[in-house]
Amino acid sequence: MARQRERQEQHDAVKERERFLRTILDTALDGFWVVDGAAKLVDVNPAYCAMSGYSREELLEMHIADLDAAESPEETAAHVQRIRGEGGGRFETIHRRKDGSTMNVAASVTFIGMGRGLMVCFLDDITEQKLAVDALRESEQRFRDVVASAGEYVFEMDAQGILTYVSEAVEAILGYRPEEMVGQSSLRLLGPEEQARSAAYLGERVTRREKISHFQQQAVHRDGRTVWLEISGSPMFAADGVLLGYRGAVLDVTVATKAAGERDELQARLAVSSRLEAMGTLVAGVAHEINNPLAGGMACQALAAQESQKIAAILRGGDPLDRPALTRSVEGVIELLGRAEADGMNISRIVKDLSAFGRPDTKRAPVRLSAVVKSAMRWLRVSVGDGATIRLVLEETPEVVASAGQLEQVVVNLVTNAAHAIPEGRRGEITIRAAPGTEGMARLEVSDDGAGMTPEIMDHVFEPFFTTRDAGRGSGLGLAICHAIVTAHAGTIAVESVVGKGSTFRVELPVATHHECLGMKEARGDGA
Amino acid sequence: MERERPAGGRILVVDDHENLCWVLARLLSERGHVVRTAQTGAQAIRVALDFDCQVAIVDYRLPDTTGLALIAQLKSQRPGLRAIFTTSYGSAALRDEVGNGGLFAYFDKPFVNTDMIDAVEAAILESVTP
Repeated sequence: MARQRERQEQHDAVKERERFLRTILDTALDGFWVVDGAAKLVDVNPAYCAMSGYSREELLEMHIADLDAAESPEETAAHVQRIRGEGGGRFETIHRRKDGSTMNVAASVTFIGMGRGLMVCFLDDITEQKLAVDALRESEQRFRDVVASAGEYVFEMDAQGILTYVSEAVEAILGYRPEEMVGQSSLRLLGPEEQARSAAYLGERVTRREKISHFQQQAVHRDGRTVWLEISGSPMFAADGVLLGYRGAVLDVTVATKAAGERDELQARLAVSSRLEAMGTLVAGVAHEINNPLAGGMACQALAAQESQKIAAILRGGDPLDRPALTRSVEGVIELLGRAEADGMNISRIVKDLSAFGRPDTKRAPVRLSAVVKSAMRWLRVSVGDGATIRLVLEETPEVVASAGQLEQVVVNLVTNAAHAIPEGRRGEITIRAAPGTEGMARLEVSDDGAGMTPEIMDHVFEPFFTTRDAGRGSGLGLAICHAIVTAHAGTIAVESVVGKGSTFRVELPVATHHECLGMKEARGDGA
Repeated sequence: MERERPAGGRILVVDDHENLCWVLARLLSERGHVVRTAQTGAQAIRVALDFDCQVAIVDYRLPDTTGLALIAQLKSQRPGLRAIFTTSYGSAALRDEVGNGGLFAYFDKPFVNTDMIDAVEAAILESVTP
C-alpha cells in the first residue's frame, strides 16, 4: 500500500515534472521538436506551429525532410546519423513554411535515445536577423561598388534590363529625372547600334551571371548631345540563387573619352608626320640623285659652250686654220655634250621611276598572274637581251584583284634587277614562276642564278635609292617601287639569296574573293 | 679684268659621280692644274699618300664615308690642305651642320663652273701664300 502510494507519488511527481516541462516548452518563443530515429516528428510545441504555419496535428505526420529546404532527404539522414554519433550539434538550416516561403533556422539538437533514438531540437527563426546582416552586407557592397567605379549615379535593374532604381544624380548626367527612367529599359537612351551592342553585352552577362565591368556605351542626353558612360555593376541573387538583376554605378566618362579621342587624333597626326618624314627622306634622296647628274651635265654644257666660243673665235679670225687642233677641240665639245646628254637621260629615268610612286592607283580588276607575266614578257625579251634566258613556269593561280599595269611593272622591275645580278660574260637564267601561295594567296617568284647578295645588302634592298650598281646606272628605285606596289595591294614581298648562287624575290598577293570577282565583273559590264 | 691665275695647282676631286669627277678634272686641267680624282673615301686617302694636293673638292655623301670625315682625315695627312665642300642635298640645315668648320668654300650642286674655278684658284693662292 505504502509502495503503491509511493509509486503514485512518484508518478505524480513525474507528471508534475512533465507538465512543468510542457508549460516551459509551450510558452517558449523558440520552436521545439522531438524526432524519432526515423526522423519523424513525434512532438512539437506551439511556437514551432506558429513559425511554420502548420498545426500540431499536421506536423506530427511529417518528417524532417518535409520541412527542411536546405538538405535533401539523404543529407538529412546522414546529418541525423552524425548527431547520433556526436550526441548532439548546432547548425543553421532553412525550413519551408506551409505557405511555401522559407525561414532561416538555427537548430540546437541533443540525442536522447530512449530506445526509439529520440532527439530533441530547439529551433530559432533567425530570418530577420539574417536579412539584417545581408542588408548590411549589401549596402556595404553597394557603397564599395559606387566607390570602386567612382560612380556618378547608382542604378538597379532587373534581369530583363528594366531599371528599378536610379539615383538623383542621373539628372545631371543624362538630363532625365529618376522617375522618368525607372520602369524603362536601361537601353532606352542609346542609339540603335549602341542598343544592339549593349544588349548583346548585357545579355551575355546575365547568361553567365557575371558582373558588369567597366562597360562603355554612348548615350544620348535629353538635349541631344552624346554622353559616354562607363557601367559597372554586380549581379543580385535571390536566396535560391535566381539572378534578380544588377546593381551598380554609371560613371560619366565623356571628358576622359574625349581625351582618348584627342590622343587617337594626335597619333594619327604623328602617323602623318612620320609619313612626311619618310617623304622628306625621299625628297632628300631625290635631290641627291638628281643634283649629281645635273651638276655633271651642267658643268659639261658650260665647258662645251666655252670650247665652242674658242672655236668660233678661231674661225672668225683670219689666221690659217690648224685643222688637227680644231678637230680635237670639236671632238672635245662632242664628248662634253654626249656626257651632258647621258646625265640628262639619267635624270629623266629617275623622274620616270619616281612618278610611279606618285601615280594614282590605276583601276583594279581581277587578273591572273600568268596573264600579267605573259604581258610583261613583251618588254622583257628586249630589255634583258642576250644576258639571260627567261624561263616561265606558270601554274594556274586564282585571280587577284590588282592593277594589271602595276603588277606588270613589278615583274619588269624584278626581272631587270635579276638580269643585273648576272655577271657579265656568261648567260644566266631567270625563272619567273606563278603558283598558288600560302593560304589565300597567289605567288609570283623571280629567281636568278646570278651573284646573290650578302645579308647586309638584303636588309636595304627595298630602300629607295639603294643600289649596288655603278653611279649613273640604276636609279635605285626599281625594288622600292615593287615594294610600294605590292604593299598597296595588301601583299608581301620578300627575298632569299645566297652569295654566288643567286636570289629569289617572292611576291604574294591576296586571292580575290568570289564576291570581288563577281562585283567587279558586273561593274565592268561583262558579268553573266 | 683678268683673274690672277696661279699656275700648276694640285687638286684632288672626290665624288662618287664619275662624270662630275671627269668634267671637273677637265675643267681644271684646262686651267693648267694637276687634277687627280677618287670616287670613294678610301681611294682619296690612297691618292693623297703620294699626291701633295693643295685643294680637295669633296662631296658630302660618299659610298664609304661622309665628306666631312674624309676632309678631317685628309687634313691630318696634308695639314696645309684647303677643302671645298659640295653637296647635292642643298639644305640649309646641312649648311648649319657643316658650318665654317675649316672649310674654304661650300657649293650646292649644281654649281656654276666659273664660280668653282674662282674658288679653287683662290684656295691655291691662299695655300702658297699663307
